[in-house]
Amino acid sequence: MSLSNYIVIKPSKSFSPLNWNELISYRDLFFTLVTKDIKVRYKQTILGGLWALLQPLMLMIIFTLFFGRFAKIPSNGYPYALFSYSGLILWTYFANALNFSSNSLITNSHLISKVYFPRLLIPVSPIIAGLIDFFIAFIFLLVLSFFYDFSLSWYLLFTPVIVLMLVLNAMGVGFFLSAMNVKFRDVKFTVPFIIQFWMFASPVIYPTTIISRKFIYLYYLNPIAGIIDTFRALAFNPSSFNLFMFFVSFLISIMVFLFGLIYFKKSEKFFADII
Amino acid sequence: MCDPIIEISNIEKIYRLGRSQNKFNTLSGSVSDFLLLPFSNILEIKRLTHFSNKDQSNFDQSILYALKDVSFNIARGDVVGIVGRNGAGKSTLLKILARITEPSSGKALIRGRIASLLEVGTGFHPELSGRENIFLNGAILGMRKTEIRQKFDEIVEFAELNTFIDTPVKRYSSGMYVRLAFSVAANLDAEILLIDEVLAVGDIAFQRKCLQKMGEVVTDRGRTILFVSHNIGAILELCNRAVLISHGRLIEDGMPEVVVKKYQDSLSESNFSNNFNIVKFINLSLKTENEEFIVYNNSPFNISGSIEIPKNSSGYALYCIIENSLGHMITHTRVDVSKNKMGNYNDSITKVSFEYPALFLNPGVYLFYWKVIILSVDVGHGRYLSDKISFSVLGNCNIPEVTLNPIVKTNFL
Repeated sequence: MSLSNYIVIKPSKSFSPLNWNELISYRDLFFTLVTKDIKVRYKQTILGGLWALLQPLMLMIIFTLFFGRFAKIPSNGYPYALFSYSGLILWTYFANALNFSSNSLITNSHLISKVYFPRLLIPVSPIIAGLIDFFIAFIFLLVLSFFYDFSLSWYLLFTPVIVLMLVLNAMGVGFFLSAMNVKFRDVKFTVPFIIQFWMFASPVIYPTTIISRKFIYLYYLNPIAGIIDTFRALAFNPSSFNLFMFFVSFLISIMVFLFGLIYFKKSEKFFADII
Repeated sequence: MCDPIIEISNIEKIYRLGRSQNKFNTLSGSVSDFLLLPFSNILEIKRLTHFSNKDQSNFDQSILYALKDVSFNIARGDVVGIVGRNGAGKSTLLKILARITEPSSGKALIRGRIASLLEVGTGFHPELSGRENIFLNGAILGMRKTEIRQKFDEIVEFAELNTFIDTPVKRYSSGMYVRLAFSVAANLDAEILLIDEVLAVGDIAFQRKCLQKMGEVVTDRGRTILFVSHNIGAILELCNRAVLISHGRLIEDGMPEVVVKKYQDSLSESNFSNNFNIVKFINLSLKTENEEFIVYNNSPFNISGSIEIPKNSSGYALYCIIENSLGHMITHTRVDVSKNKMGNYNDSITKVSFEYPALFLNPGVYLFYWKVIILSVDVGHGRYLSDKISFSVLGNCNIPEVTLNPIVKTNFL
């Protein structure tokens, strides 16, 4: 049964540790929420799931036109379309995950004020649901490389690790912003700017090589930068893979995740009262 | 005998009310106010969740005790009705037991699997079909997927929605929607159920079905149920125990009949000016064949009492008025009394009884009172009201509120 057999209700300390058993016992609810998020995302649209593909594809076309053709941004010698698309599928996933996740508690406020379940499930669910979109867009990367007659490396099979790091980041930031959002609705208006700014701070549509060497360590404090660079190395040129940079990104991703988790757990007890 | 399934000890819950700030009336005042708004907002929002000991001891206007020092135990298999006026803290208590919100202090112990129904159709998504929503809603209420699959046919059949089960619920009529929602909830299996006023859904036929289902749930499966309702009939029918909460405190705990009576009394309004009046109302009561102040809506009843009136008045009109708990008048009956007609009028105390036929009122709490209008000039015109006295109507019925005009037989005794 989904609830333990002995429950003590009392005012909690400022921080309650993660209850794994409870999270696991709510797995059915979690999968149902994820399925709902997947089903609902493209309901009553004409193109339906095609949007998963079109979002990064449209951006790729725009950026290829303006940055690749007109501004002549370098792309490390790869076709700019392929280069930007490989960054954009990661970025689109991350941006959508962040966007849905940070507003998730607010859009599900009716659940929070009427039923009990581990609140963490709410911001996690859209992040997991978005993986389907990522998968569809990823498949198209293979199609695109075929189109450009560019053979991708087998190291691409390590993509799940990249995705895991993205998920950790999306969760960390999503936990933090969604919990903040319960108290301060300013978050809702801030998130689009955060996403915009973060995209330009990451090597999505330009290569890291244009960053001056002086700032490169500062630049890699952004875990997304390391993630995208690693992904491109795996896809296009495994010999350019930078292990140190990868570990830094991985470590920061875990820190981001933990920070978000702790903030969320600390504020979750007030959700139902102030949402 | 085993331990109580729920132990509630000294539960308190405080809320801070959001308050609007004082506004300046001058231009410079409002400009600086506007510029400082972010700072005052942040303080205001931070304050919402921050309670210091000082706040609690001092009498702070913005602090609200939703529950204060509530303790009681519930034994396995008890069906407990929670009654109280709006804002008394009933729902807050359920929310604490459901773990939706934490108590500010105190402790509760729950020994069993608990499920809460504070609303029907929690989490229904309008874009999803009835079928998908059954799974979604079931999961949200804490059911396992296999469990829902097992009960799926039963749920659909109970909701009478066989042909629409694959239609998005946003195309449902509101009646279909609540029927589906209740059906999922009714099939919820848990040792302890917390229910907040969700029985009254759908049309009359479906409501009867719901109550019947509730009855089955209560008797067959030996579950423990806590149930908040304003439907006194349902509480008397289903519960073996009731508690009365008023202003966040537990006032009464015991047999449903006793607690409901106390609740009714708390609803009655007393008319203090009555003491100074020259008209006195004595021993007003409402009776059926067997009971006092409780009526089945399909049986006749009788409101009687005495009035004392100055001898020198030449005549008066007596009204017997029945209102519902919202203060809307349901029916009023008038009888004119003049000296000539009533030989014994000089006795100054007159006993009157109004015999009502069955009124088929919706179940709930109602009030009755008497009103006297003195017609004579010598004593002075006057309009005098008795206390408002509450009574309960039981039965299964839900019809739109109407003003009734029954034929009432009046007897002077």
